[in-house]
Order: sequence, then structure tokens, then C-alpha cells
Amino acid sequence: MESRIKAIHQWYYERKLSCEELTRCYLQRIQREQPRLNAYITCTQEHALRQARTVDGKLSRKERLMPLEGIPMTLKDNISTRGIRTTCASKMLHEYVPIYDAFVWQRLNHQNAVLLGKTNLDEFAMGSSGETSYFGPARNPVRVDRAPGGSSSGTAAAVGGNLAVYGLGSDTGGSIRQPAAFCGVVGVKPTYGAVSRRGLIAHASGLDQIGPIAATVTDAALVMDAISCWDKEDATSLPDQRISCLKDLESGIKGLRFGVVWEYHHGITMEVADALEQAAEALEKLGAVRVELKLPALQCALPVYYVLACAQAASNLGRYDGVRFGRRTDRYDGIDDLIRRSRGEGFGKEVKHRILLGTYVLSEGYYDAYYQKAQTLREEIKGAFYQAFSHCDFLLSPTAAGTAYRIGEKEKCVDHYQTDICTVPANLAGLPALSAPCGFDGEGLPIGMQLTGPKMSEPLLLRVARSFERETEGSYQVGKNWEDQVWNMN
Amino acid sequence: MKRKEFNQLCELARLYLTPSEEEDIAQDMEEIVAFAQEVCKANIPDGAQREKEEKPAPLREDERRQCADREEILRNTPQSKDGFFMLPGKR
Repeated sequence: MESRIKAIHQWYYERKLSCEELTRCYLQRIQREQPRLNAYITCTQEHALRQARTVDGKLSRKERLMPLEGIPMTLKDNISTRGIRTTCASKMLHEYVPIYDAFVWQRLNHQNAVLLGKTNLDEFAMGSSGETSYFGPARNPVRVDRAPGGSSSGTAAAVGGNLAVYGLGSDTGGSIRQPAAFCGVVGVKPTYGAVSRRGLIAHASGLDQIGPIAATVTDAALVMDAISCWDKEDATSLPDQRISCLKDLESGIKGLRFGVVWEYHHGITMEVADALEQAAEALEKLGAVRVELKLPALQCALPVYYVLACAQAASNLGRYDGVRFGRRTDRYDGIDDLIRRSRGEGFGKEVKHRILLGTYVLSEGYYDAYYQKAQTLREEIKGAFYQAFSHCDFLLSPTAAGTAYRIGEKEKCVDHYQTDICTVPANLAGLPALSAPCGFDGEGLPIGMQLTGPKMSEPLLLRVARSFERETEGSYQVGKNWEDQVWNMN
Repeated sequence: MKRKEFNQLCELARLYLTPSEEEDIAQDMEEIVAFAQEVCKANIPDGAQREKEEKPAPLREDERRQCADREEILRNTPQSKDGFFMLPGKR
């Protein structure tokens, strides 16, 4: 299927079902599947039905719909929604209700997007499996004993499990792409600055980006076009951006050069390696040209990422002190004790790890050796990508070294960090990257291929992914029986 | 990491840990810091090509304008009085 969004609009125009009927179907399905997948933290039933009725009113007046109007969707629960609880999957913000909407939600709400609810994530977007959530882990819809990936665990599980047509996640070190790969869906991390971060509850401000997770490439492109534009209230938002992801989506990739970087293949499983090789051959069959590359600067990308991300996170999470918002302890002896105990009670273990590492690398005596050095190495990584793109138009790599692992399998936190090895370089360089399904392992678990490009090359990356999807007839899409599922729900 | 250094780190981070958490997290931090030390050991390669410098982000005009409503802001605090955040005194 090319686009679930377009299919739904066609059903609306043909009066095969109404927006309210479809919304009720999704809400019932969420209620039924929630104990099994735990994809949602908050379900916004009344809001969704109200929005759906507005859309049905437009349809009854035979008005044309905006591109994403009336489509049931979800937001990762670190994206602020005015009047709707936004928890970051943390005890610290268990009852926090934002007083403003994130910019991306303003854009989608303007199109009467039907918000089904707020989806689960790793606490404060710190994690790669969904397991650090205060509300318990989301589960992989392909096999529920497996992690859906993280930190946008619930969003990927919801889209992969047909509990939403699309969703927005956030990506600091791979948190859109890796869960998209594990759940067999498409996930896009935009160029840093292409999508406003206003209203995204910050993890690492120099690395965070909001992006779409969808079942098909065309749907991801539709959402990208809706959310990527300049926001004058976000000082890191790129002005003068005029990208259209949809415009040349079907134009093919003949003559494009793709780089295969040796450093990305370190430690990957044989099944992932085979799937990537088949993907490379498919791209060559479509007329693209393979270029072998070596980027030694990428070898230190993972520890560089964790030093910089944790430093920024330690600074950002300093605001949670029990004073203006968030959990306040009821056992304290003075203001300092109130702050320490509120934070101690409110944060989970992995968040504490990262705050402590961030504090360590910024502290006197360690700042130069860790933080300053990491900044220098980051510049080298940016330079390496710049050099690579003088030899090719985009890079092909695995999104993750393996497939979805069992929940609880990785006991040590540094083992979780290793799963980000393929994704963090794009964040460090501020480049766009996406994951698209390209195969399955022997147990039927999805494998994702990652496409990375120069700044503002999202249209090109989506064009490549769409060409591959068309060439393989969507055979790696999960939920191929989606239409039947929808009609059975109805 | 020595225990004294770990305790100082918790103080800097404004984090209270229970005794069992201290034991557990102190052990984890040994591995995490060892992982981060790869940064200190990494060599800086020579002669990488760079992109040309980007323009800095534009700043907005320094003009007064309405921010959020006071009552709305206070809605998320556990305790407020007369338009102020309330903090407890020393017990």
C-alpha cells in the first residue's frame, strides 16, 4: 500500500465510512490492545471524537480536506499538548499538564488531526528499548516478548500495531529510527533545525529533533511536509527552508550514488548484513551506483554522543526541582533537601545515570578531557560526513546492528548504549536520516535500513526509500492486512 | 570512582539516593565512566574537510510582550499563594 492517509481520505470522500466511525474503531482497538502492547500512556477519547465530528462536518459540506485532516494519529508523550497530561513517562511529571501546545502539534491541530492519545517512551527519552518508562515498557507488536526499541517505543508500537495511522516521535541518538526498524515501520529524523523543537520537553537541546513515524514512505513524506518549516520562536529553527518531500517522491533514483561505510558494519548480525546487501543490490538495480567508503572518525561516535548528550541532559533536567512543576517530596528539611529528595524520588535509574555522567563530564578537572574533547571530535565527525558527501549523494547503512531483543535481556546500561552505534553519527552531525524496512530475520523480526544524507536532503532520502518500497512491492511493510483490519474493526 | 567523589557528584547533581540506590548506581557509574573514557583516549584525526561556517541564528527584537497567564503557570506547582510559588520553610 502506497499511503494509508490517502486511502482513508478516499474512503471519506466516497462515504464508505465517516471520520467518527474510523476514530471509534481505533479507540476500541487501542482499548483492546493496550494490555498487550502498552503503547499509550494517555488516551484522549473525547478530544479525538470532537475533532472527528469537525471533520465529518466539513465532509458533509463537500469541502476538500487538508493533507492530514481527519487522520487518527498519536504524539510521543514528551511533546507538549495544552490541557492534556504530558508525562515524559516519568514519575517526576506524572500529573504535569502543559499550558501551551508544541509548535508541531499546533501545525497538525490546525489540520484537524485526530489525536488518539499520547504514546509511551523511555523516561525523558533516555533509553533504547522502552524499558525505562515509569508506566512499564511498550511491547513490540510483531512479537510481544520483544522490545519495540526506544525511546519512541510507544509511537513505533502504535503505528506498527495499527493503533494509529502515524505518530510523531523525537530523536536524539536514534530514538525515531531504531524503534521504527524494530517495529517494521518508517521513521524520519530531520535535519537539525528543520522541525521546531518548541514544546518538545528537552533531553539534549543540541541533538533533539521531532519527526514522523508512519507505516509507509508516502505517509512519512506527507507528515514531514506538514511539520517542517521555520518557527520564529525556536532560535535553532532553520529560516529560509523550502523543502517539499512529496513533490519528487516518485521520480526514481537513477544515477544517484550511495555510500556504504565500513564503520557502520561493525558488530552487525549476519542476517542484518545480508538484508543490507540485498537492499544495496536493489538500489543498484534501480540505477543507483555503489561507492565504498571509510570514515574512521565515526569509530568514537558512540562515547562522544553519550558525553555530549548527558552533559546537555544534566543541564536541562536541572529545572526539575519540585518548585514550579513536577513531583515535590513531602519529606524534607529545608529547600536544598526538598530539591534533592524531589529529584531522587521523581527520576528513574537510567535518568539518574545520565544526570550523573553529564555532571561528571562538566565538572572541574574533567571538563577539558571529556566535554571539550567530545566537542572537538564532534567537529571531526561533521567533517568526515562532509567529505563523504563529496563522493556520494547519500549513505546506506543498517539502522541497528541486530533485531528486536527480548525485554529484560540486556541487564547492563552500557549494553543498551551499544544499540545506538549506527544512529548517533547523524545526530552529532545534525544530518537527516531515516529508517525504512528492508527485511526480516529468521524469527520474522523486522530489519531496517538507514539512509543518511546532507543537510535538508529529506526529499532525496524519502525518494530513495519510496523507490525501494515500490521495487520490493512493499513486501517488508508490517500490517499488510491493514485494510482488512480496518473494515473488520468497523 | 572513589565513594567520596561519587557522593560529591550526587551533591553537584542535586540527587538524593537511598543507601541501596547508592550501592547500585555507584557500581553502574564505574562502567559508564569507563565507557565515556573512550573519548579521552580517542585520537583527533588530521586534515578533515569542513563545511563552511553557517550564519548564526537570528535573534528576535528585545521587545516587551505578553507571556503566559500567571494563574495558568501556577496550576502545575504543588503550592502557591497570592500569585507566588510557595516553598516550605525549614522544619
